[in-house]
Amino acid sequence: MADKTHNDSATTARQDNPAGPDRAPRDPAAESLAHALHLSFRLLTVIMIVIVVAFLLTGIRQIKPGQAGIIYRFGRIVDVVGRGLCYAWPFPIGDIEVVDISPKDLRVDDFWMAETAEDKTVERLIDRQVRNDGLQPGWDGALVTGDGNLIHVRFECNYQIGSENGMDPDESLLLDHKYNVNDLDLKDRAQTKDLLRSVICQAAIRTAAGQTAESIRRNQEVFWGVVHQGAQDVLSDLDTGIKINLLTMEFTWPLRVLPEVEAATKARQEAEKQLNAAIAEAKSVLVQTAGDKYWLLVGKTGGDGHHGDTSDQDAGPGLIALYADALAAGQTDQAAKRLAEIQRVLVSDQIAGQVRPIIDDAKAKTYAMLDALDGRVTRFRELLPEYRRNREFVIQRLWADARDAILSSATIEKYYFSPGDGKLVIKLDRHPDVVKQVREGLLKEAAGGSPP
Amino acid sequence: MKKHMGLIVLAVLVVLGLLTYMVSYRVESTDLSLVLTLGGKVDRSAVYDGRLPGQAGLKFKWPWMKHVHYDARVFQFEDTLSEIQTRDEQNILITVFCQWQVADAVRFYAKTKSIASAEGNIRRTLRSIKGGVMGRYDMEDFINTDPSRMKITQIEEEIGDGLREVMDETYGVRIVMVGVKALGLPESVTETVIEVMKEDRQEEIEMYDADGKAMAEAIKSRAKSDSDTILAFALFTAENIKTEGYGQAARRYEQYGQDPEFAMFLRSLESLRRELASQTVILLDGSKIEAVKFFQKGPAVPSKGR
Repeated sequence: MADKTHNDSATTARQDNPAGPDRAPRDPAAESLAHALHLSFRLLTVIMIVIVVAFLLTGIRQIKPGQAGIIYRFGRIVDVVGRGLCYAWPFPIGDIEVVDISPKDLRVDDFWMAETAEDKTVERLIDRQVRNDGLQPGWDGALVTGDGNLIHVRFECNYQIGSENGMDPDESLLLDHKYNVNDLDLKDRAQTKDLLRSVICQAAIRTAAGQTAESIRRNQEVFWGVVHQGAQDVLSDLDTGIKINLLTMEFTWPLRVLPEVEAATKARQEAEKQLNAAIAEAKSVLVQTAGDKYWLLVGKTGGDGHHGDTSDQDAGPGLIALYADALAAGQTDQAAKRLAEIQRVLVSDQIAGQVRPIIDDAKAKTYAMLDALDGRVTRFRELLPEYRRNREFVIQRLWADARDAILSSATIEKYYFSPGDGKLVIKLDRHPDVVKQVREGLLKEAAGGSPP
Repeated sequence: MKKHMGLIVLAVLVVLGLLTYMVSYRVESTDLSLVLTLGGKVDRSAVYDGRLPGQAGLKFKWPWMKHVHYDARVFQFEDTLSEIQTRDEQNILITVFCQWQVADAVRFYAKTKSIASAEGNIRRTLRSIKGGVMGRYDMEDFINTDPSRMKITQIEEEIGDGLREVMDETYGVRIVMVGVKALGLPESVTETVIEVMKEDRQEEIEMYDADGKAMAEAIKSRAKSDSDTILAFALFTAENIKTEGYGQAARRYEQYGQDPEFAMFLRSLESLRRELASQTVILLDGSKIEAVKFFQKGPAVPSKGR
């Protein structure tokens, strides 16, 4: 019945519709509602699309230099990416974890004395107020050394995670850290810091417990190098993906000992000053004697307090000491070898100083003697054949040459006289002009360089 | 109907999403995961270790099942500072750190259920083991200037092994490492040590004062002695050079053997020239010198036929 009524109404409406017989007449309110619904649906569809697109876009992330991205899908790690844009399915399907892999600093002061804010304003440790006779456990940190002493040290550590260079990620290191150290997602890296602090302390305790306090003070770089290596070895063994780039250390004695340490340092410096002055003087004496390479002969090691010179530990004890040792041991062959070496060094260009003129003079005299001798021998060999042919003539000629040479010399005074019945008196008090003439002749000869 | 298809699809998706949420769970790459049945029993077929290949990701369960998961990464804690007496009755203060991780999720859930509770158990066990182990060593095993006699590493390993023996099997954890974090001395002992250090420095000062001058003098004296020795060797070498020269000269003189008389004549002439070279006054008899006669009488004319 109701359906029938409805159909009738529709037929009436179609008949009254001026727009045409096929178009149903519309209720304006219904039409408006339908229009509004249509619009709302379209708007909702657009909003849904926008939401879906925005949702999908949340998977885009920018990874900056010094960062790395770990991409997850349903909690499973699927990729590790470096700097640039990257995409992963949005949460809860996927996720991107951005990790800071840039180098960071950490101070490890577990072995340092307790410091108040007031203490820190005093620059020199020795000027600080000392509150206790000893060190308070749990408050004052200290390292116990192998000789039972106490020292304070603090380390400055520069480290990074998941990277070799602090800029680009190393997938293996980053995943090691992710799988084994449970603070990658925490901003303050508390677990990483605790771990670093622990392994550095452990390495420092192990190293200090086997050394004297004084050797640590003297070789601080060696000490912190060993600590660095020890800590890094543990971190690597544990696959933590943490790399210690640099570890440096500050050292001091307990505050109560500092005045004595300072006094001892002054005494040591004074002794070193005296020692250095003595070394300088000793070197000067030896350099004056034999030049810079004096140590070839007498050595320059400082370990046995020889000349206090530690600049060349490979120099050895010196040839003269080796020669003396060989003699003392009755090794004559060895001693002869050493002596030959000493003489070879003495005549070489390596040796200067007072030794040089002694050797040069001996050489010069010897060479001069041999040169003169060579000249004579040559002259003898040249004249010998002629001499053998005419002895008298050669003798006379040579005599004449010699007489000419002597009598023509400007430096020789000659007096000719004719012996007669009268008395001949020669006064050898020279006239000033003669003396002058003789002197000039001597100077001329000297300037000419002619051999005496 | 067609007009509302979009809404219908959306509704279906939402419902599916909710259903998926109820029946699924994620196993993270760093998690150990298990699922409990309605009766609280562990479903053995749904125990996962996210670190192993293929085990992390999306998993499914019935809505009434409960998902439990533990962080499989390494945890660390520090023991409190405690005073321990060594075998040779010396007191030492020591703190150790311990690294551990959940190794077996099922056993861990059965025994402790929470990380905090497990850490508490490990702390208590560590404290008792630490005292026992350290009491078996002397002070010189902790600190010794001879590193080969130092046993800190051995002590750490012994504590770690003792802890593993108790914890690993029973509680489903793995003790990764035990290490000494702090090693100190009681306050009263540090007072004595500091006094000794001060006395050592005093001795050092006295030593530097006394030895400084002596060492400096010794170095200077040694240098003087070495200088004299070098000069003595230099003179010796110079004499050797000359001796060698004489040897060479002797070989040259052998050539004079061809006519020694003539050689000596030449040598005499040379000597004469050198000896009369300067500061010499020569008196000559003019009557015996032809050149002088030249000035007196003019040059002699050689006779014919001669």
